[in-house]
Amino acid sequence: MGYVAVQGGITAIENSQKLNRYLRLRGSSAPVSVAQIMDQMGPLVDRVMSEGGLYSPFHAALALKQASGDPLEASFLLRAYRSTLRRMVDSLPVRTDGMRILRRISSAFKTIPGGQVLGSTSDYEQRILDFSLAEETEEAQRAAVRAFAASVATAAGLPDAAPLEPERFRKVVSNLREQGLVAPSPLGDPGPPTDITQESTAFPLDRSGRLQMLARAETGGVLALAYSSMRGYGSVHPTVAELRVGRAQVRIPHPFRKGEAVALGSIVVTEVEIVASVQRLEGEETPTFSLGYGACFGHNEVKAISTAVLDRAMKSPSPKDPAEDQEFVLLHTDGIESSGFCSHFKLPHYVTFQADLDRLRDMRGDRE
Amino acid sequence: MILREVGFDEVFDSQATFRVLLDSMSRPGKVSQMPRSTYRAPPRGFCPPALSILKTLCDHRVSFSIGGAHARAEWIRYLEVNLATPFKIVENAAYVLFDGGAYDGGFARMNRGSLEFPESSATALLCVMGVLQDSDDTEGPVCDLVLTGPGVKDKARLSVAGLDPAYAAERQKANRHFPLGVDLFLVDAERRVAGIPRTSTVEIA
Amino acid sequence: MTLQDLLPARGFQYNFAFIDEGAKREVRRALLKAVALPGHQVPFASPELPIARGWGTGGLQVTMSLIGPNDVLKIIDQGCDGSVNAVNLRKLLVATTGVRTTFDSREATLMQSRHRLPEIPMTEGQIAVLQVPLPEPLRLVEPSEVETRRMHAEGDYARMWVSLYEDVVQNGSVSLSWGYPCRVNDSYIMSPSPLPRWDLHMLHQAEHLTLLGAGREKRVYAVPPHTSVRPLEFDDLPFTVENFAGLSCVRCGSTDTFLDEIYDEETGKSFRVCSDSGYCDLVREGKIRVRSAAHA
Repeated sequence: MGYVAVQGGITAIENSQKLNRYLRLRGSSAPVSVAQIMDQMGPLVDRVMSEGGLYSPFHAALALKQASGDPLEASFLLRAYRSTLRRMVDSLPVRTDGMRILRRISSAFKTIPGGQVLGSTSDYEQRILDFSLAEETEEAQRAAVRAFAASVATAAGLPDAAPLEPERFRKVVSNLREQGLVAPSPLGDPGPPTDITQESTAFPLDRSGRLQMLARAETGGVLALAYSSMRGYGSVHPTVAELRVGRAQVRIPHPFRKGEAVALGSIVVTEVEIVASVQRLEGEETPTFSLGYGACFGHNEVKAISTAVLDRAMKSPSPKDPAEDQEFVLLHTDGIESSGFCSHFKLPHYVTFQADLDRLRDMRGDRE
Repeated sequence: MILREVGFDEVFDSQATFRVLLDSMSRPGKVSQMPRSTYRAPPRGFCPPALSILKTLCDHRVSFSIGGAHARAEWIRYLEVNLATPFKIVENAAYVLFDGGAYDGGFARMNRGSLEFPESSATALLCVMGVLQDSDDTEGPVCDLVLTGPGVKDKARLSVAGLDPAYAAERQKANRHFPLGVDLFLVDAERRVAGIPRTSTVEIA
Repeated sequence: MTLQDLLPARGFQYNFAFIDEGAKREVRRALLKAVALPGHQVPFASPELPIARGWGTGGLQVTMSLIGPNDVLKIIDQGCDGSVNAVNLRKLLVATTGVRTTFDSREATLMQSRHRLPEIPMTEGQIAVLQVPLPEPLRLVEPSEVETRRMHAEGDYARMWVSLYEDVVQNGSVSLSWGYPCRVNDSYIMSPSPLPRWDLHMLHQAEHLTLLGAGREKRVYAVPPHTSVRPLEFDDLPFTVENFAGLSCVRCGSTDTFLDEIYDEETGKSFRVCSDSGYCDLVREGKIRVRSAAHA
């Protein structure tokens, strides 16, 4: 076999992989542990779980370590891993109204039933670089944790420990519904949701398919399109009726006791319901507010708000702006697909380019 | 008691069977032999190679049916147990099994797909006495079919023993508005198979 | 539960040809329908693979659904077996199937390719699997999937013809170079994948079956053997292929193959080499005779 290129190709790939590993490890710092990523890079882990479409902080953190922190690459690793997992059973619908609240706010009303719970947020932090973090010691870490525990009145004050009664936090949208200001929930069983990972889907996509695609969409992509809608390429002027972050239980039907359920555990979910412009639904006399819904794994408010805005935008009866076009929004916001295709332009294209050269030279009348 | 058959390897027998099916549908009228599987308890009258075809293609995401289902409860149970695929009425099923020797009206009611999704149409499996390239290979009445169209170089000749010609006539009707139509496989107990896509023009010689 | 509990017990075990049997069945069902509807794009779920989208996952899923232990596999990219991505895909398939591989296109039972067909016409015992980035030929004139689906359903290809006509008016000829839209079986308009014009005749009335897979766009389609595949052309402006007149391959001397334009790493001088590296090697090794007839 005369072609040196073959052996060269294999060697080049292997050397590249060795180089990647070397670049990750050659510094004088100790190897970062998966546990450190899980503990101290929560929002990044949450983002990768969300875009990878798999709820597992451990696997997301491992992917991030392998990808040296690149969230697109880590999400891809997680997605590919997810494809290999056996599908055992579908869960029962997760009840977010039964969530253990970690954070819960509404912009629609000053005070709401159950109260505004600020929780953990960077919204009101001053964005000033904190240089003391460069020398954070384990001792300082332990001291800070002790001090916080001492500062809360009881163990119930620690996040995740507090058994905050879910029924305290009645959904704001429920109130609006009761007053007829928001359309009532559709009656009847919507049937099983589409599974975009196992079935081929076609546009126009049903709402369960659209929400699934948004749930694992890339944060920057949905943010850009939602921003376009908020800013002027669209007519969605949202008010956040409710944003809630908390732990929701995942339950499956009992394998042999009919009618019962088994709780598997809980997941952190961010959920946003926006109320947007007035609409008059088909066949209805009275106008109501329109709703947009966004939810994702983990704590990611920018994504949840953006997807709620896009959910509402895509319901527009006569779409004219990019964020209102289902195909435009859903086909271009999957990070794995978009980054894969973007990157594919690095592959050799010299045959197709030769075909282009031939056409151009022909049109110009040049020949070698 | 319906037995769950274990004589079909999900990985390798599916793969080998599929290659024959693909070749058959790509070359209408070519007779091929499917790999052997040993089934211990097929119901009386059931053509065992049809199970291999169904096991290769079916799972919980699709559905099967049987022409003349009302007479074949045992077959339905056998297939439900062995395919883990839901049984549906002929109109709604993706894969439909027929006794090729006796025309069943269900054939005319199969799903022909839609203009936008012509691939959603059903696929029929016709179990016959003999799928033969040459009518000299057998005694008894045969249907000599001449096929033209995609996959066929000039003409292909197929001799089918135990095929009710009403199936050919009904097939022509079902496929007259391309791309709507049904695609079918002929299979016999000796594991011989031939494929006829909706694009084939079939004449009875 | 500890982190230790989450680590897989025996390491990761691959299924034969990597994808699970459910995924293979779905692709197989789609391919049988695709063959019955030449040139029509059949949707499939296309779950993620460890290879990036846009890098051949569609072709790969087709190959993975077809391949058996007795197949002989050839994988090329731009006609070359040694191309980095072809090497990578070959690695994955061999690791998960153990099949024999070849660079000689005549020996292959399955040939997966990006952007080229082999110079030696394929035969009845061979299947070509082409990698497709953009399966929809009507995307040239229409961005919406819902609308292009309707156009195919109704055979409404007028806008495509208008676009080609406008191209001729503006440029003197059709400026489309690769992936030239073709009419299959006088029915559907299809993208042949980014093949150069040079290769299109090899799809027409071929001895072999061609399957095309687009993983990111989630479509498969097929050209059965002995099926007409005609590039869209105007009666008075016949379709032409790339012009390599006066040029020849510096390695084997062929004057009738698709030639890559190479720039020497040292001297910067340009010269030509067969894109089909396997063919070039066979000629150099004296295993086949250079065709004396010019490209038909």
